Amino acid sequence: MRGRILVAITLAVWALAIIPVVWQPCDPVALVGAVWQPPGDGHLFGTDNLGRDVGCRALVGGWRICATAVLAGALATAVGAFAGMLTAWGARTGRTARWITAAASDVALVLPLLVVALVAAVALPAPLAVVVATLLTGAPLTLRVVSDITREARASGFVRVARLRGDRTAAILLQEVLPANARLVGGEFAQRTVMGLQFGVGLHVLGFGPSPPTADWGSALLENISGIGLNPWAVFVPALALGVLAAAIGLLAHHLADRAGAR
Amino acid sequence: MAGRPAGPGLRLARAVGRSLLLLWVASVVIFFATASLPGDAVLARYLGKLTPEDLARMRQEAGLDRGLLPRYLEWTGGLLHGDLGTSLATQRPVSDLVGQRLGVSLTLCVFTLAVTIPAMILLAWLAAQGGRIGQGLGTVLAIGGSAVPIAVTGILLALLVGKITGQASAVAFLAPGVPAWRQLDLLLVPMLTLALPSACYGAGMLRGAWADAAAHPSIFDARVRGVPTRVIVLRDILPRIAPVALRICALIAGGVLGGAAVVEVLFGIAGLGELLVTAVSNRDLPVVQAVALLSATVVAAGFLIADLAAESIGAQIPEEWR
Repeated sequence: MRGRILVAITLAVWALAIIPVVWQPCDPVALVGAVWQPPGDGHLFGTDNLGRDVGCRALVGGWRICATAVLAGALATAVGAFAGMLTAWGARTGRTARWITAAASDVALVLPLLVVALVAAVALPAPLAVVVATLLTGAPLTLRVVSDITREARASGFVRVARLRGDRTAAILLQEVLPANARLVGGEFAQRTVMGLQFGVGLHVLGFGPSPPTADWGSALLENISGIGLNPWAVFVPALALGVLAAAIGLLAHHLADRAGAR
Repeated sequence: MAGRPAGPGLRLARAVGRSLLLLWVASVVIFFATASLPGDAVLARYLGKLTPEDLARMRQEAGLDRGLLPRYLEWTGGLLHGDLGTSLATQRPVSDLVGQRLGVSLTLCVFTLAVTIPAMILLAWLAAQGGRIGQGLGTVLAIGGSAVPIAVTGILLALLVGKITGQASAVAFLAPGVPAWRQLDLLLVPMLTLALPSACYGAGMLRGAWADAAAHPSIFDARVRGVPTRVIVLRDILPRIAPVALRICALIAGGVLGGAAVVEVLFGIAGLGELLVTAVSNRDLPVVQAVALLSATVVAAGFLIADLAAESIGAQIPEEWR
């Protein structure tokens, strides 16, 4: 039940955010009034730092961050899961691989996340930088989780039956091991998507987002924070959308991992 | 090494050596990742403003025409003598640039930890032992709170604090020349913004360790004998979770010291994180190295202390924390 509510919230925000890709209901760059006007005068949430409609910009400005986060999460999960299954399946390479992952995760913990994200952001355009940063920092975590469950599954009855049947390794991993742990992998996907969302918002606030006139939830936070006393809605609306989305996906990740543990 | 008992001195040396090795690897990764970015410090500043000959001459003067390895070795050599080098973008000593920002960042770091640690422990306790409702609430707060992007937390807190105090501005206009710890009221929202997600993240991590510690037979025993909860928590549970908590605090301290750029930019604070952002954009390698290494050193030192603390109470940090 709780899982369904969380999925519903996530999909609702995501669907709202993705609408402007196919249909733009209003013009997000039109100057419609004075700077940072409070709600009223036909503008539900007032105006922003240049006198543009806050509601319209909120409606149109979410799809980049949302789509990038999902893409980054999916890629990090896929790469991490693939590498995790490989390291756990080959018994001989298993120990070396585990040592390397342990050492790499130590270095990754000590290394400031910000440096990774910044180097990616300076070298690449924003969406790609988010994907790369999520991949570099998130995939190793997924690798660890998936290699643990694969090692467990390897010793379990249904895998032994499949091996005796003569199934190929790839078929066993993709058709037996992965579906049996679908919840856990789903939880990993949600967790990595949260990371993608956090990198996206962070980099956009630091000025690595889409270039200025473009409406964007992340950039809007920095653009409008100085006007917080005049029109608080200009920051509240995008912050609320991002906050609800991130919290729902994060809780969903926890819920899935919890259910997987209790199976 | 199994089977050979190691003396405490040897174990300490090994642990310190491991931390130093970790830092060295981190410094290599940071240096070469930043250096492999397109362009360099001179090009980032003067491209299109100077003739190609002048550019070439300046790059030679800055030593940028040499290979990466000699530059890395020279930087490491200077570091071993306590010399952080000279900024390529401003020609000023890196120690000056870092020193200027250190006060604000250190203040933020100390007070963030001061808020985070009690909040984290309370939340972990709620999530681990708070009864049905408390556990649910604690878990939702810990997981949800750590998922929200930090800029969003900052905005929501600024709105809340602004509503309560009636303050119309969220930007911290710090007076120059006055130490940051004397202007704490201006840093309240940035501090809370750093502390709350840290506390949620830490509580989410500590929750499991706390539940494990509370399930220990000796604690069940103490409970049956009627020892008050307060005593059990202080005497039995907190020492057991201390090593894990120390590791979490190390991560948070390192993160605030060099990685708080988003909060610093959002609230207009000139701290180390903001310096790092500028330095990466300018390809100012000595500055990037100095800030990143400072933050990495804090984390590594914290991990070392946590390991030693775990050893001294005969506990082991579980595999998933290593």
